[in-house]
Amino acid sequence: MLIKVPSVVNLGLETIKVDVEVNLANRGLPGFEIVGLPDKAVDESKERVRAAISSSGIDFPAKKITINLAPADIPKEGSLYDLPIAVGILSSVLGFPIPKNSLFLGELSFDGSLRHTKGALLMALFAKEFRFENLFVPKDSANEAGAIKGVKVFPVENLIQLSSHFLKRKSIEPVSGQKILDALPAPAEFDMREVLGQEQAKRAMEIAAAGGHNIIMVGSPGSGKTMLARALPGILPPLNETESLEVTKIYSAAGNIPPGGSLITNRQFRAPHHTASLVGLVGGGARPHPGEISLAHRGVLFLDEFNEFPHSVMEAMRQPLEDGYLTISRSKQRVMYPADFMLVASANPCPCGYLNHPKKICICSPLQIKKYQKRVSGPILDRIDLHIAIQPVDTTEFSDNQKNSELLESSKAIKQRVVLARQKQEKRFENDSIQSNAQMKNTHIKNYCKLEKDIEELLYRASIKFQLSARSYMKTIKVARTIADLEGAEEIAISHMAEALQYKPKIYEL
Amino acid sequence: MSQHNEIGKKGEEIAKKFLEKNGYKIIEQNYKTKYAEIDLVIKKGKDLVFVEVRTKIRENFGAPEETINKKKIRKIKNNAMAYVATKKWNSSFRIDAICIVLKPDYTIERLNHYESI
Amino acid sequence: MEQVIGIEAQKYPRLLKEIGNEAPKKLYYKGNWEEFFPAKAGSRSAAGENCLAVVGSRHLTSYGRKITEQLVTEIAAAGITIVSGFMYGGDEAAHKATVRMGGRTIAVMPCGIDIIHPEYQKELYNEILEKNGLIISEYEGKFLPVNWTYVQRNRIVAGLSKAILVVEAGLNSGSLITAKYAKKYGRKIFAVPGQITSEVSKGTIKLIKEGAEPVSEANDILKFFKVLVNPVKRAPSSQNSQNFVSSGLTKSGSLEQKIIEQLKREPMEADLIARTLGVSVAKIGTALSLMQLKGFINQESGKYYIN
Repeated sequence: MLIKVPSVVNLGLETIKVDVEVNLANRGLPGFEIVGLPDKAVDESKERVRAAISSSGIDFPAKKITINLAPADIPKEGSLYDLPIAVGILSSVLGFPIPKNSLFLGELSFDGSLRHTKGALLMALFAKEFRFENLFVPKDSANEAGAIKGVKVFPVENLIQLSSHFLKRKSIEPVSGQKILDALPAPAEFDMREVLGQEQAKRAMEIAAAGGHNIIMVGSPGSGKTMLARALPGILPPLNETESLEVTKIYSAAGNIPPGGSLITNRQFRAPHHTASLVGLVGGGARPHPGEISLAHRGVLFLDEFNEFPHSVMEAMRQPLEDGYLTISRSKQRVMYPADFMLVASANPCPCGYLNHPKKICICSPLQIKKYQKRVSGPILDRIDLHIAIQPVDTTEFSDNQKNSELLESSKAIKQRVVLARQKQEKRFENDSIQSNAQMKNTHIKNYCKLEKDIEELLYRASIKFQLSARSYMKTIKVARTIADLEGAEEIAISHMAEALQYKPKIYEL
Repeated sequence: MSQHNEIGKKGEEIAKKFLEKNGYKIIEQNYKTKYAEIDLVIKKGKDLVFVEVRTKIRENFGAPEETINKKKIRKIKNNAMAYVATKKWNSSFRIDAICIVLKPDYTIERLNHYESI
Repeated sequence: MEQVIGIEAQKYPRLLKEIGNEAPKKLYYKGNWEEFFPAKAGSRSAAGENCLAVVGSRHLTSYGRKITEQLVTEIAAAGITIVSGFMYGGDEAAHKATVRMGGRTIAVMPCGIDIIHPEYQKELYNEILEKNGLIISEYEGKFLPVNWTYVQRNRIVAGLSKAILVVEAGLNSGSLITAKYAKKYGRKIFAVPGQITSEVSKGTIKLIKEGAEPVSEANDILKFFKVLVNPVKRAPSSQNSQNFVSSGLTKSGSLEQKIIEQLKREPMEADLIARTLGVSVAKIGTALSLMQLKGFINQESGKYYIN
């Protein structure tokens, strides 16, 4: 008897239909085999399925069972075929038909219950596109799949429950009208008002958040770089619907959606350490999986101690910083992961960290400093729009009013401005393929950043005086555009351009 | 003779009787090649069949079916080919397995005949 | 031809000879020796007769650098020869300022005459030679610097000079060693006062306490040299060409004026200006950029200065 149970395979963010063909042969020695390029985890599903069926109180058939995962030329990984295999066997034992237009996905536990499985959202998207009506997924993954409207998602708890559903004894209620829960809320560790002083840095953070600009902070240890970065999530605008789906897809593929979670609606903040591996940071591996920079898609990638990151990482980041995605090529497959993140980098000015410190003395020689600063590759620095120097703050010099954080602007207030600025940008780029000012290419700048004669003159003068490169010139215009948006201005004014010049690349005088 | 060999012998006798009852003609018993031994070589009409007999007392320590793995099957196949070559048999053949479970008193609990494993 | 001067030679620096048995037996040099120490002894107008040693911490603060540039530029313009040790930081700032101004400078190396140390200051080295400066050392050939040669070098720096100016120095710094030699040889010591909290002011404050003369303007030193021999014609400064944005300072009471008021007191970062004036940092940033473009102020390592 041949039974076909449809399921899917996720290659990167691409989904392909897989037919789990279950053959129970009457002739031949009883046995259980899986063919069709399974990896170890798929192969082991034999044992899980056997145990799960037995512990559900159903006799495991003593027949020659062969499972084929078709198409057989695509490598399949993971434990997500447990459910389709079990359903195929049960359908033969219990004699129920496999419902039409349905997809199955899920990992089994020995006791017959289903576990949270990665990729449910990707399957739901696939189901919607190719008109599959019913999805059978583990209960814990149902919210994730249920985020896609127009597909019936059945939350399956265990094999017994599923069998009674198919035998029409007691049906499972599909999840419907799912309230969208934030799968991974990203609370900021600090409120901006807790950061004393650092007015210019805070302002730069606001601009970066509003326009999606990359930013680098250079300053001594303890000057508050990390605190500023950690406060950033609090002023980021929420993800819009398309962005939210994009991000959730990546997290779903990586298996990073917590059980019961649905869509991710907050911008994510990723802070990998500089000792993380290249593959962990940019993604890859023999079976490609998304790395930290993809998990930071539409969010923030915070690289503390930026110059400590190995050269290979910096080089690997060039493509995503330019194009917003990353291609991982392997001999067997090529996958593309989106990686359009806002880079927030922090660095010490010199090896000892105290160059230009008001109190402490730097003990580095100019040569050491030069070498240290050179560790950040030029092309990467070129793609950073905002450069700020951070000086340690001596709060003992503050007046009581200045020290009272209640009087400072809260993250919430800043966020309001940021959100408005983002809305302006969304409207502006309606017909373009970009979302924020930071992503503007030269043609966009021509269209949306018309400069009055005197502003152009100012910028020209500045480019000579401050020796701005052609790219810095363009970056300054982009930043000015965001500053204008924050103010609600339609056109870039002189004041916007002048402020933007504050965040130009700094050259550290020795 | 140790117990497991005794059980094996007993099983083979049971299998022989079973096969004869089903119209097979026993050609060889415990035919030895340089690889190993073929438990039974039988014939029914045009079919030449090599039979591996597995016998166990009770199934507490696993079914006899489980003791036949791919390696064993390959071994039987090699044996069969060696046999076919020596006997100059030029028609098709197949490999069967007979799994027997005995009660402790050596009476039959179940007997399964799997064709073409 | 080996360029070397023995202690018995007529051309041997008179002041250096005065330090007695500590004077180096031989001096190797590069550059035009006659320009500084002509054969005719006692020519008081020769460049080598009026030397000021300028020394400072290797870890010069931006304040120290600014002061060095300011003072040295004026002093060198008056025809005084600036002597220093070619180390990075204070020495390098002094040489650089002199060369840029077009003045005369002598660099005393802690290593063999054929080596440039530190090597990455090669550009400055060549500049000194091109601009008629002098490089000297008591070591021949490719002798590598070791820690005691730095100290030995300092005695030549002190010995060549009539007076010594210490810009910034920590306690136990090489600059203080030079000052110690200067005192021993009976040379005048000048020191620039700094903030008492700064590590690199501790040495200069100690010197002042011990009797060194505090310096607040170039004239303090020029008065000591009295005679202004062959004032060097001042090279056109690049700063003059900065007023390209036609508008000048806006009227009094404006934000720009207020910022100028603040910066007159002390150089500040944008954050501090915003905090002190109670104006948003966005507005301050705008004003600072414009003022910088107009050439009123300048920025260095985070702080803004009045030009």
